[in-house]
Parts: sequence; structure tokens; C-alpha cells
Amino acid sequence: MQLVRPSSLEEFAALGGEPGDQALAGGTELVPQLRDGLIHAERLVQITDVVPRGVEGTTIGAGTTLAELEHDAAIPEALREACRLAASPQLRNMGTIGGNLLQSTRCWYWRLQFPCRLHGGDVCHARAGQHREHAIFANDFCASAHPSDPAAALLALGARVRTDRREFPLDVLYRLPTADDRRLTTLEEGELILELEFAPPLASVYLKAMDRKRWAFALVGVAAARYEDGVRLALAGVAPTPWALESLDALEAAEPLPDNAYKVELAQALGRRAIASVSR
Amino acid sequence: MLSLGGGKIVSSDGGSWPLEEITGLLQDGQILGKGARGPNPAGMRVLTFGVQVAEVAVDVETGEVVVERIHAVHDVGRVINPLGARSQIEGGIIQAMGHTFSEARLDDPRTGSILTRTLDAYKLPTFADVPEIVCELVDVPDEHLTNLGSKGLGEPPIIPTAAAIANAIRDATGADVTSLPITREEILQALREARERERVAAGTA
Ligand SMILES: Cc1cc2nc3c(=O)[nH]c(=O)nc-3n(C[C@H](O)[C@H](O)[C@H](O)COP(=O)(O)OP(=O)(O)OC[C@H]3O[C@@H](n4cnc5c(N)ncnc54)[C@H](O)[C@@H]3O)c2cc1C
Ligand code: SF4
Repeated sequence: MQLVRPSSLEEFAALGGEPGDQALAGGTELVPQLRDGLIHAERLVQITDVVPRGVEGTTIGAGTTLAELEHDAAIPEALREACRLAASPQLRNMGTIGGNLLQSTRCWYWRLQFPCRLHGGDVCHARAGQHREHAIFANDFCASAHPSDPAAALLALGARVRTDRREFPLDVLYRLPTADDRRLTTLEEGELILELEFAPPLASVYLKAMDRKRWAFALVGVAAARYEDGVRLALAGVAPTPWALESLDALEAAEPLPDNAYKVELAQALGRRAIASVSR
Repeated sequence: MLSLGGGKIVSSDGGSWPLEEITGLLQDGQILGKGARGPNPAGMRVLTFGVQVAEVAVDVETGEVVVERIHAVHDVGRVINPLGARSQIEGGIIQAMGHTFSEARLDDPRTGSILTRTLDAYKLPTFADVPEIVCELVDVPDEHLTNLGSKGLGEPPIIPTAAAIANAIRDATGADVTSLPITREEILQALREARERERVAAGTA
């Protein structure tokens, strides 16, 4: 395996993308996946000097670490708290927001390489097996739950994504997998996320339920952000993608599996609190 | 005969020397001691005694339990190393916090494969999960036992912790949790059942 480190976007473009390339940011997700044989790379392209890092006004460089966001007073509370409650200090010091948005599912079957639908097979092992941590929405084909806390916060904050090719709202970054296309994101081969742009809220909050007090993925995470025209809600841990909710009534449409109905109750309780908190 | 106490070495004829003065003279030398613990007495079982009390706060909407404090009082006979004994109690309680709340080995029902193989899936307690631990040792040598009058302290702090926490949860909320770990789904279910019992009781009153 080869490691290259282009020093600018121009140099990155000049490298010319190749099929065996993998972009390397903090490596906290990529390296374990390489080690476990979940992905393969001919060439690691370190993008540290290619992708902007830091916050300017309402623009966040995709190379900004979760630790930097957590400590930046210019960042809305929902995103700061989502970063603060994610992973561990070591991981937040290395992990970037760009990599966080693109992390893979923690579904144990997928991580252990069961030949499930997301790996191209024809069954979802979680639906018939262990799924207490899995999705309560859109879980028909693949019941994986999206693990990113910051993604839910950014979704509630109306974030837009700028790549080296285009610009679009954050929800467009994600897609539900289907039999014809198992991917969970719409990013093209070799496309880089460069920046995120959020809409400053009047107030925002992120609440997260975990199996222990720290260093656990969300059973349910709820982000709420209040704007002039109302409160926007988005959830982590409830669907294969970050999940925007029109209102708490929309939780009635959840279709939990036998062992994860408690997530609906959690989402309701956290949702009520989040709305109350931003409405004060 | 020499004895050691109060930071001094004392001889039976009344002499007394500060310990640091003697060890200062030692320079690079070492003092080595040897001791032995006699066998457990025949025809008698060695039992330790202790009591643990848990104080908890339960969020009845989200099922989150915060263990605020655990008091542990143990009678293990003579305490030989107080710091070691305390650490043993603290460590046992922290270990128990794991099986009480977050450690669960999940198997795939069809293949029998263990799914929780990594430390992000199999959740040990973190520092943030550790309650305030107040421990006290009775420290009375048990004269029926060995020449040391002391007993073991490995398991005693671990075993009662989950039960004390479950009982504290019931005391606080009426919820009866009967299996471990006490996950969110477990406690939300137990809270629902408690509310139902209360409703039925109110209806028949
Ligand atoms: C034990 C553990 C616990 C965790 N807990 C949480 C948690 O509770 N909540 C949570 O939200 N997250 C959690 N995480 C995820 C963690 O936050 C992410 O691993 C981290 O943010 C990824 O960033 P990175 O820079 O290390 O990405 P990398 O590992 O470098 O990359 C991850 C992926 O994104 C791609 N990529 C990275 N940057 C870009 C870019 N700018 N453009 C295009 N592609 C890119 C890479 O090619 C790779 O596919 C946890 C991770 C671990 C290992
Ligand atoms: S939930 Fe998705 S990733 Fe997990 S086993 Fe089912 S198809 Fe695979």
C-alpha cells in the first residue's frame, strides 16, 4: 500500500483518482476498517493539507477536528454538544468532521463481515437476529442505525455541503440502500467534502441516550434547532441515515423491530426535552 | 525484641529510634522480611460479611440511572493492607457497575457467533460511570481463622452491588428489574409495569 500526501487541492486533482484510492483524514475510522479487511486500498491519499481546517463565520472546514468544534464558542450548541458526547477525547483530537459524516455503520453483523445486504448479500442478519441498537425508521432493507452525532446536529442546523465538485444540502449526502445500489452516501468516487455551512439558529441543543455515560454510540440522539419559522429536529441512531423529523408526531410512523421499540420512547422523551430547551 | 509502630522502631528494653534514621543508615541495603499465613482451620468455613447500600437517581422518562453513591462496609477480619483493601472494594464495585448496566454478550441466534467482540460493542464502564464509593472496613481479626485472622476480599464487593442498585431503583420508582444488565429497554419496561400495577391498584381501591 502506498501513502501520498498532496499539499494542495491542485496537487490532489493532479494525482488523478484511481479505483484503489482511499482518502485518509484522521484515520480513526479508515485505519480500523483497513485492518479488519472491511475495505482495501492500493493507495492512501492523505487529505490533511487539501481539505480546509477551522471555522470562519458559519463555514466549517471538513478537516476541523471534533475537539476543535467542541471548544469553539462560535459553533452552535447542538453541534458542540454532539461533538462533546461523541467518541473519546483521543478520537475527537484525531477525528475530523468530514470523516465523521462519512463513517460506516456500527452494525455488528456488518463489522464482522456477515454476508448481509449491505455487503451485497440477500439477507439482513440484524432483522432476524440481534438488533437492539438498530433502526426504527426505514429499516426494511437494511436496519443499520446511523452512528454520527454531529450529522444529526448539522441536519437540524440546515447544513449545506461543499465538495470539490458541487454544493448541496446535507440530507442529499445520504441515501437509503436498495437492492440495486447498496451505498449509503451519494458522494462520487474520489469526491472530497471541503466545507460545511450551517444556518445560525436562535437556540439549539443535542441530547443523547447511551448505554454508559461516555464513549458509546447513540441509542438515540436528538438535535433541535430553533429558527424564526420554527424548530427543526434531527435524530441519530434511528435510521440507516441521519433522520430529520417534521415533528414529534412523526415518531408514530416508526416501525421498530421486536427488540428496539424502546428507541421510540427514548426519542419521544428526548425530543420533548430538546424542544422545551430551545423554546425557552 | 524489636517492634515497629508510630514510625518508630521500639525495643523491649525501652529504646526507640525513628524509622527514617535507621533506614537512612541502610543506604543501598535492603531489609527483607518473611512471613507465612497458616492454613485455614479444619472443620470451619471461612465466610466474609459485608453490607452495601446504593443511592440512585432514576430518570423515569428516559430510563437513565445515575448511581450517585455506594456505601460498602466489609468485615474481612484483620486488614493487612488498608490501601489495597480499599482498592479491592472500589475495583469490585466498578467491575459490578459494568455487569449491572452495560456489559452484555450478545450472540447471533442463528449462527451462535458472538457479536459483541470489540470494546465499542461490549461496553465496560468508563470513569464517568463510577459512583462515589464510601468504604469502611471493620478490621477485627477473626480469631477462629488463620494466624493472621484475615479473610479474602475479592468477590464480596462485586456480588451485592447489582442487587443493591436494583433494590434502590425499586425503592425510588416502584420498578422491579429482575435481569442484568439493566439496559434502557429493561428499565423502561419495568417502569411501565410499575405504572400499570399502580393503576390497577388505584382502580380496585
Ligand atoms: C471507538 C469509536 C467510538 C466512536 N464514537 C462515536 C460517537 O459516539 N459518535 C460519533 O458521531 N462518532 C463516533 N466515532 C466516529 C468518529 O467520530 C469518526 O471515526 C471520526 O470522526 C472520523 O474522522 P477521521 O478524520 O478519523 O476519518 P477517517 O477515518 O480518516 O475517514 C473516514 C472515512 O471518510 C472518508 N473521508 C474523510 N474525510 C473526507 C473528506 N473530507 N472528503 C471525502 N471523504 C472523506 C475517508 O475516505 C474514510 O472513508 C467513534 C469512532 C470510534 C473508533
Ligand atoms: S442492518 Fe444492514 S448492515 Fe446490519 S446486517 Fe442488516 S443489512 Fe447488514
